[in-house]
Amino acid sequence: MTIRNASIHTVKDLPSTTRIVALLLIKNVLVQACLAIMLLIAAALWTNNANAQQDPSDTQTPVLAEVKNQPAVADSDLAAEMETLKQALVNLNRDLFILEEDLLFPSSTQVAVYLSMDVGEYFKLDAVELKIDGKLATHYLYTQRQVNALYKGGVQRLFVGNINQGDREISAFFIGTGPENRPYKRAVTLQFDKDDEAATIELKIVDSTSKQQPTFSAILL
Amino acid sequence: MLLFMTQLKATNFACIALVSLVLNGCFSTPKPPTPAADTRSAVQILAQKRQDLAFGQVVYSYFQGAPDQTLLQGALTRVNELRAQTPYGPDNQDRLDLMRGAVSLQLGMTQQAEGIFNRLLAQSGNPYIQANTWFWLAKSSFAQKRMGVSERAYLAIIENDLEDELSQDHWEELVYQVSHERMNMGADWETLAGELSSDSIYQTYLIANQAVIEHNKQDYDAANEAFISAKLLLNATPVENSIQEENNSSSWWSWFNWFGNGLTESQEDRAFQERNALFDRLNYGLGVTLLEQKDYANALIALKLIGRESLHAEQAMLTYGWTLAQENRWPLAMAAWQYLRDNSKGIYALQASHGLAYGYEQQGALAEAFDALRDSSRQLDAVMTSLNSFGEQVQQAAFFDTVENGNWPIEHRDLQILLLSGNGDIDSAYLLGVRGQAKQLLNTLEGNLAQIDGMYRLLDERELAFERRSEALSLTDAQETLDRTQLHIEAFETILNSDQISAKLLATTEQVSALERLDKGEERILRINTEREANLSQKYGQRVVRLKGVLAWELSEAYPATRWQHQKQLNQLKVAYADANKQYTRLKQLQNNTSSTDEQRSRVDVMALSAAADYARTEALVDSLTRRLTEFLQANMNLRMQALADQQVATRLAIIRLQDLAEPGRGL
Repeated sequence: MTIRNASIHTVKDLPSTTRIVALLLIKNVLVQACLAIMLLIAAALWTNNANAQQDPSDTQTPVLAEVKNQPAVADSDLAAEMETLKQALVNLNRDLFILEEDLLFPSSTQVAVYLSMDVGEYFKLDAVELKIDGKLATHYLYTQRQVNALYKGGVQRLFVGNINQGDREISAFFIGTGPENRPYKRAVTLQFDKDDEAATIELKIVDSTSKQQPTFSAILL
Repeated sequence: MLLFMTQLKATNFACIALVSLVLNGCFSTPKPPTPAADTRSAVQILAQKRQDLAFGQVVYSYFQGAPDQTLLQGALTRVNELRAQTPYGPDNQDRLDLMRGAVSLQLGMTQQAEGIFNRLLAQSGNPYIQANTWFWLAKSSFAQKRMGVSERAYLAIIENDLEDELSQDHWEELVYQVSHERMNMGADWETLAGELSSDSIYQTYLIANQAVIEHNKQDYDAANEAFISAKLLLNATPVENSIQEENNSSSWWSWFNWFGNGLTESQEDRAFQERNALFDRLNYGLGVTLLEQKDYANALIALKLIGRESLHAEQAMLTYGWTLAQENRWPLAMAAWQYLRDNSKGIYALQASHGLAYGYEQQGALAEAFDALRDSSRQLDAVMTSLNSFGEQVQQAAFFDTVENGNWPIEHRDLQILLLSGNGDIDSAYLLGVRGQAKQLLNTLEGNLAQIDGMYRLLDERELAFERRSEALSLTDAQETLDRTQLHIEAFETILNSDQISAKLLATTEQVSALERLDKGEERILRINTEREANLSQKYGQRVVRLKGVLAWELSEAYPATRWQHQKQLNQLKVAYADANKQYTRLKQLQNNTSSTDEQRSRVDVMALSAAADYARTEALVDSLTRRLTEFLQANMNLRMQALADQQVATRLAIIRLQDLAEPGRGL
């Protein structure tokens, strides 16, 4: 029963003998109409508040939101403030890094070993083991991502530490897969005189197209 | 004959020499040009090599996907460059800048990134740098909804024939951006989008957005068609293409090409999530469009395809129910609401309960309407209680740390979605993102402060060790030894410089002992001659005198060389003394000097101050953001509470009315 249907009938239209019954009926109709209105209003309120897509009294077309595939980046004072903070943090980290190096690895005892490699056609690097004067300094296992970064011209600081001044020997063992997918292990050794300047050593893995083999070298800069 | 043979040999030799000369002149390869002599000093060459290593470290960090490390390495490179006075060549400098710009963009430092890109575009003539800089600038502008930059980038690349300088992934992304912008402006975008590969996810996004535009223009047939096309296309797109991060290794500059050809586990998860979310959006859009077309059966199929975990599913089902109700298709509408009420615990279940009550009432089933209203009332009570207790959680400072995955009550999940997506008044999603970044900065700063504390401890220990060593090192003995040595040197110098220096003083040990023996011999001869009546033969005395004469002659002969030797040794002694004195002075200075640790300590002090200031500033920012977010959420919760209370009142009134209706005599 709807409000419109109920409003069609009036009290005057009804015969007097049935007036009492009619009054009861009208009352029922009015109660039901009120209930329906109440439910509709409640539902409308409710759905509006709950952000429903559509409510029963509104047949307006819902507006669909754009299908995004990019996070929005707001350009505001807040963004500028964040950017300043981030830049300050980069500078702070840089200064801390330099100071920490100065404190922990003074140039008189510092030795730093770097690793670089070229295309890697004849050698796929898995690990490098580094020994200084026969003692293990580091053993580094590489992920594919790190190896790819090396292929693209990256240089890894493999080791930084302290050694005494004088004659020293550094040995690097390269472990990986060589030509024809065979397990491959090669080593290079470098003897050098550590003085009061920081020692920088570069380990290089280079493909030799003439030999069809990888070549390994250690150079004191 | 011999002469003839000699002439022949000579002629032959001349001919061979001439021919060799000519042949050498004709066929020998020209000597390569001598490389220009390296005029740099050894120090400069070493500095340059170290710079190259530093450049390589930036590249290594960049390709490992460590943007913060890349920025740090880049900053170190600049410091080294200034210190060593060895600037990079323009190409390497531009590449460094391009990497810095790209990682700055990734870290949300948009202004810095765009500053770098604009400078590169103005300064660099390298086609590679030009093309890639245009790409990054367009990407940044597109993300910030600044229209037109992508189009400019595209035109610049096309006009200068730079397409090959971009990786395939970057090229497709640029084409997508330009197509998207053209679509929003109502221009022809399909022609350009045709350049995208058929299995590119960008195709799906473009068509999906086209469908949304058509739907909002109320062209439901076109929207319908576009949604279906997008779904079919998405189905045909490989999962690994569902995220826009580059995953091949074709480009030197590609962002994520270190992943090789496959995806990592987390990327794969994200790819699936992205794909599913897009499917949900498409199904929702299609369902709503079909409802508009009054194709209820197909609308229901589309809406039911939306994942259960998606908020779109519940929203869509509710919409479906109301749409059917408007058409007086009560059984279907009631079934949708029933399903929603039984399967959902959120706000949409409450709405479904109301829908059910309304439906029952409309169909004259007052008893069922009464039950539905009672259910609804009970649920409203529970939800209001839960909202109250949730309000207390929201007040806690750490609440927003876990807002994305924390313990959010399921019945208020739509509030979570509202917070994560924002509304027209406040971009809470952006604020949440910034707050998250600021919290990360705080964590980093806490690490930095701990690092600084460690440095202080290290310096303290070093100072203590230094003091102990200084105390253990007595320099008093050394001072006495040096003083004594100084006296000796002066004495030697006086002697050597004296005019009356005796030859004996410079004699060897043997010569000295021989002289002593001769002196004794003389004494003995004298004593014997004195003590005895008969003197010794004069020959003895004469022999001693002769020997002494010989010895004196030898000494005088050796005197210049011996004196020179002594002078030389004295000079050496003086040098050694000077060295020892210098060392002693240095040691003395070191013992009294703590300036090196003082200098380091002052550097640490500066950094501690800087870190503390940054920390305070970041903390203030986090607090401010937390306050704004709390206010936003609290305001929405208050609205929700008010709506729930109103709803509860309306529901209870409706219950009373129904009771009146069931007992008609009671009200009379």
